[in-house]
Amino acid sequence: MGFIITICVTVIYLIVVCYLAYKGWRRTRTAADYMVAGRAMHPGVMALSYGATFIGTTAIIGFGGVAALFGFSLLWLGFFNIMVGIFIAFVFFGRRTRRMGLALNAHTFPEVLGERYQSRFIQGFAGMVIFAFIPIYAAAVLIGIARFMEVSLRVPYAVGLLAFCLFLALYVIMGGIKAVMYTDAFQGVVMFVMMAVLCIWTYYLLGGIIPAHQALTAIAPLVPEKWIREGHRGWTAGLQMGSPFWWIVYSSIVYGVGIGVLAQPQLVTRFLTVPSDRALNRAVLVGGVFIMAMTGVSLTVGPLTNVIFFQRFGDISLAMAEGNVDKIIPVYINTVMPWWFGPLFLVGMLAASMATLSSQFHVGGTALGRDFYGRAMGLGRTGEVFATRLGIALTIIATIIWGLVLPSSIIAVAVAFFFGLCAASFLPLYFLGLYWKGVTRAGAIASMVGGLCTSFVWMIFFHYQESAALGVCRLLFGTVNLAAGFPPTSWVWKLQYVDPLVVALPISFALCMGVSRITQKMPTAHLKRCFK
Amino acid sequence: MVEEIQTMFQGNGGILGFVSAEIAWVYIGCILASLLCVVYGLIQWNRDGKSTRVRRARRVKKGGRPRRRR
Repeated sequence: MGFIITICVTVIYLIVVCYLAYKGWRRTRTAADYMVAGRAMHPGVMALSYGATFIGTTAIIGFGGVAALFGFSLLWLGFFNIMVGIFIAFVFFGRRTRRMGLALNAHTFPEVLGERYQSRFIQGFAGMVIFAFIPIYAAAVLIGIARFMEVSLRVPYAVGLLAFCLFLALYVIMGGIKAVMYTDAFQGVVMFVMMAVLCIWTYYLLGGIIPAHQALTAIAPLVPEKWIREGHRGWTAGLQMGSPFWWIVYSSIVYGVGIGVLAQPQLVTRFLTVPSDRALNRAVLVGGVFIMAMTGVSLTVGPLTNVIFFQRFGDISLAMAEGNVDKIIPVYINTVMPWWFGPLFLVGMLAASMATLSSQFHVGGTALGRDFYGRAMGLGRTGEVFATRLGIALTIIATIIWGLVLPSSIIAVAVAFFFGLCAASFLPLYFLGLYWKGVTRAGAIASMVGGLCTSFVWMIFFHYQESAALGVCRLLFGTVNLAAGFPPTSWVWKLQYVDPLVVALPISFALCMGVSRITQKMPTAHLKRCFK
Repeated sequence: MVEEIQTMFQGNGGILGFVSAEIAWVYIGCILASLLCVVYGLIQWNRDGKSTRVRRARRVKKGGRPRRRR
């Protein structure tokens, strides 16, 4: 009976999505409609689309699971998501990006950068970085939903992965950004309802807010000995400063994702779609509430799953999920939440992953079609929309391949990887380009290339996850990374847990400002056009 | 009255039932940040409303046929 209801709810949901995608397709006529929704999108739709794209499955399943491991310390990410990802992004980045994008007639994030610095290289390079690496981030989202469909709809993993991708491909390729944003907004509403129920029900099961936190505090002695050595002090007590866990949470997740959101191409594109600053102001209201309901709830429910699992089954969350962080929230839904919540959660998950994936595919496509093929190669007059559609198709294929080869417990890792890479490469020239007329083309190029290279050097030779996966350091120096050989008590050994962004972002900023000081300034007439 | 509020707020384990004050403040900080967005959105609701739609409409008038709204 439950399975039939799940199928029915899913089918109804897919029909609504198809209708909204069709509506977006009918309203798409020009390249501007396809890329930036004719710069006339409703603020509520834009804010929900921004929030749904921003959060997606990654926050609900990925970061919810990670919070079950590290505890309430991860709430810093929720705070950063609201303050930086919404307030600072919309108020201090959004307005200027919108105005500059309009003045320069830019349709994509790389195009904003390329036009600001009058550089086809910057636009093409940024486009290729996004096109090359966004499939890894997209694959992490795809893995989450395909695994969840495998359990809920009994669809084999590979079949679910392919079918889901093909369905998305149809509406993104046909409908462009309007189809993506209309469906995102609907999906945002579904996600909001789902998360509200999840939060209220969890606190209800534990007898209220403070009793729930106290119950979690009381089971602190269950923290495994190995975690205590890594810096865990209980789910409500914060992490030991300077410990490996502290570096992972604060440098990779809170700093990497919390700050990295400012230079996310699929989110910056949203600023170009609204008609006025007023729309951005209104979107702050919707976005602030929405992100609170998404990240805030997932980072709160995640740690609380430990106490509920312990009360009912005698085990903490990670043990219940057989060691896979990404399975903690799905297991919680299946074993603790009431039966009627299952279909709602599945639809919410479909919505979350569709919203994120569709935007990722769209950005991957425009990065290749508009930024690389159209501008960097100078072939914009012939078949730019076709090249963009081809780019979307190639992004989807790359995502499917990554989806089949990436390991488990990867969602939060892949998100931090892509966010960090974008921030190190683009944030200094994007932020300084909005506020400082003194940034030069050479400074912007040095910052972008320098930030990207520093990130990769750190990943290959220092950071524990990427260096182990890539194996280059082992091949050259016979050790998994250059910090691993030092005594575990030394500060050098801890460097392997420091996220690449901690090193790359200051270097990227320094390069941007330093090189700009000594190189030729941008023409005054161009600067007037940018800042008018 | 003050004592009642303090008891409700602090519980047994610390502020809001958390061991660490840092965690309690970030929990409150999330709610306040969200409220800040709401208040800012309400205050700024009708400010800076110059729309690009106007420019689009003018451009259409000059050059091509008027677009039908759906």
